[in-house]
Amino acid sequence: MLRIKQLALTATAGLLLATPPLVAQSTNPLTVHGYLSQGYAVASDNPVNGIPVRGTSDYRAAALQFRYDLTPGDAFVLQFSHRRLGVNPLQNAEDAVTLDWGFYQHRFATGTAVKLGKFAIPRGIYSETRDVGTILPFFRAPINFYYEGIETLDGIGVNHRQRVGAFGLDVSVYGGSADYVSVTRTPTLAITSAIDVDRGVGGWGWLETPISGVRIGAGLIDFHAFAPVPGTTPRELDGKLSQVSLDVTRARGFVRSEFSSLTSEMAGTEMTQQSYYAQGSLNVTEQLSLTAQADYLRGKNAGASWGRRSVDHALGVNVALNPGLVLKLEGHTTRGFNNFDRFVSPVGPAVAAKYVISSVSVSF
Amino acid sequence: MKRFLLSLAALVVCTATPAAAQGYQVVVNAANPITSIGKAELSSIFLKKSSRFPGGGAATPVDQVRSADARVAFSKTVHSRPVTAIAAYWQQQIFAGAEVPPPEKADDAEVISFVRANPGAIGYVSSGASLGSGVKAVTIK
Repeated sequence: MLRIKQLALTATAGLLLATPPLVAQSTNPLTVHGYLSQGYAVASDNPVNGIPVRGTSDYRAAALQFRYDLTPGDAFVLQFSHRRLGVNPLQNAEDAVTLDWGFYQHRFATGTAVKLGKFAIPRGIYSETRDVGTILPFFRAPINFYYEGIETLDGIGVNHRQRVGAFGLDVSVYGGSADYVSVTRTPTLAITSAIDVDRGVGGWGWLETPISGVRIGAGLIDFHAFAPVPGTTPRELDGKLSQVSLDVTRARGFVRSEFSSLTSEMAGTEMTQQSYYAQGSLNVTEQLSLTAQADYLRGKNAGASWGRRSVDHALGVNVALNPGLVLKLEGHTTRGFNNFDRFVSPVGPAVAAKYVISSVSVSF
Repeated sequence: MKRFLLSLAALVVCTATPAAAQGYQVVVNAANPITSIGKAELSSIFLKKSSRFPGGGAATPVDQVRSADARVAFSKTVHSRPVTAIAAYWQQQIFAGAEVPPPEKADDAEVISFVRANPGAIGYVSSGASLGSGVKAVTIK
């Protein structure tokens, strides 16, 4: 297995070197794109988001995408990804190289496109590009908001884009199944388990306003899943996730904010989880930008009051040597119960940590 | 009075000029019935948010390389964003599995050749470029 992976990586590296590093589509129907973010990260006080107190360079996200345009309206896309998450046990449950997407897309002359296969779920600003370092202001998308959850769907999706007067509409609906790995911690164990979403149906829409760079988004996902519970048979989970997004992007910078609410029921217990964040970035020069972010998560059972929030505040500096090469340095302070690489009780004392990530991101 | 009329004539000429004063001109195949296009529609076509001309008919956009003066000017006035911001937009589209950018041609001659050979093509070239047969300029409304 390791030899096959080595051969595959070597072959793709050869193809990579033989392909001109361009963003534009050539007359060649086969295009190859990819990205890599390599980081060095260190935490204080407590390990968090896979970052140990001793530091780690085992912190990486990469992907290689192959796209074949059979006709101007028909495309077949495969994307493979690889990531390392430091001391986060999730990475032990994932293969070194996984299939991110594998789908066929047909776009009709009306502007409607149909996707069949495995594809990224359209949800918000960063869901589909949460690991693409050259377009993210930080190493990753806001962790309390986007967390490690469902990113792709096996099924069918329909997208339609249209201008309506001075407005632009981009609407997607989708349905299918999904699975992902979650980490459950006890005081002595970190258990990775697969959550099987056997039914997921949703939609997402962006409205581009007449004000340049301003768009508003909203969407809803309804799903049914089997969630593992240590020591017992999987429990059934019904949930709904609703979300709104605001994106104001101008030449001098951007302001972005998103809010989501997840309500779920498992074994007769209703739970609500809210996540929200705000980001602001200033382009000091065409290459240098400064970004600040505040990212929150809170939850409660039905009838109870809100539990303690998990909070992550961040400041970052990006130097874009060109659109495909970005250097980053970011510092975070985090507090609460989420994302720590040790057991933290949601009802016990809050745990805090600071962490720094320096990274290089490339894309082509 | 004579001076006023000359000034008025100059104003009319300037507003009717097909973006030549902006450093580029938008070109389509000579068989394309359009003679003008709105800035918003033009931007939508080049960002592949729309695949058709306002009056119907499939639109096939073609860009120039990022360093081309015509592209810099086109991006600033039509997209209201620099070329680097458009490059970031295309990264978003590519890695969301949505779209890939229009083909990039090295210079005016390659753009004109592409537009001449493709009935639905639309591109931009330097304002002083000679278009030859089979290609015509359109105004931006």
